[in-house]
Amino acid sequence: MTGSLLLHSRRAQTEALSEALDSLATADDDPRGLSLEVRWLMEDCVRTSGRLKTAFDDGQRRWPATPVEDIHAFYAEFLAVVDRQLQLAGRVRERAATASEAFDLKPLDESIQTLSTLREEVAGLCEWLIAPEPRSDEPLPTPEETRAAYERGEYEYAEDILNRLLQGGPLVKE
Amino acid sequence: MTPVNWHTIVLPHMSSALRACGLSRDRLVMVLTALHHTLPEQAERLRQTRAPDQPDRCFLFRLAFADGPTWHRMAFWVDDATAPGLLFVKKLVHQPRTIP
Repeated sequence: MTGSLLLHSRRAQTEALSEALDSLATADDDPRGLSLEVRWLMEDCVRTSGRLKTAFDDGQRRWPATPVEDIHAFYAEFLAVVDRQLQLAGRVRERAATASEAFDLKPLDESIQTLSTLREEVAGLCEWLIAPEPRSDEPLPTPEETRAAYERGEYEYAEDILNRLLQGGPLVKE
Repeated sequence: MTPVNWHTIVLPHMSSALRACGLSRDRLVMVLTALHHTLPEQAERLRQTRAPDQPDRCFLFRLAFADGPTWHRMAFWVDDATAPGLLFVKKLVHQPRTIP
């Protein structure tokens, strides 16, 4: 999965929207233009929330077998983007609620709720990925047993099993 | 220091343990590819995560991936102390998690 591309583009979008919001701080001399910008920012926040949710829902189904540390690192960064977007959406809401025009805040509120739920899902996945292994009573072969099995030739190289699978053969040698 | 050319060895009971996970064929191929390629390639990094119950002999190789509506997390106990250059996969703990 092209994780870094997704993270870079989502992070860049959130930062750009944050900059756009900051630029409105001194725009009180143009109420009509300000209203339009606030409306657009609200729409952008709603869209961004949906995109982050889609990116998470689709993306997590596309992971190939990958070391958990690498997947965790990706979702830790993704979580930071969601947090930043949540913070931004809150600021946009505050700006809209105090504007002279009465905006319909419902879509923005729903998107903030979507982001909060998404945050919980991402954080839950991060925790699960690096949780300690559950206690297992299955005994580990002793070093002596491992060495004896190896000397008796009772083993396979992973490469041989892989090649057998790729040729349509069974996982377990018959 | 010359880097070790690691190779992955799978003990017979491990193949059965993998089969018991009920994965689709392409996901099995994916897991075996990780055992054959990723594990030896990243062994020096992965060996730092020692198995809590046998830290002197084994490290944990933990993989995750999605298969349809389910996440799978697999922890392999890998013995790097029995023979030079060989990584013996000795134990597997499999944990599925439904994707909401």
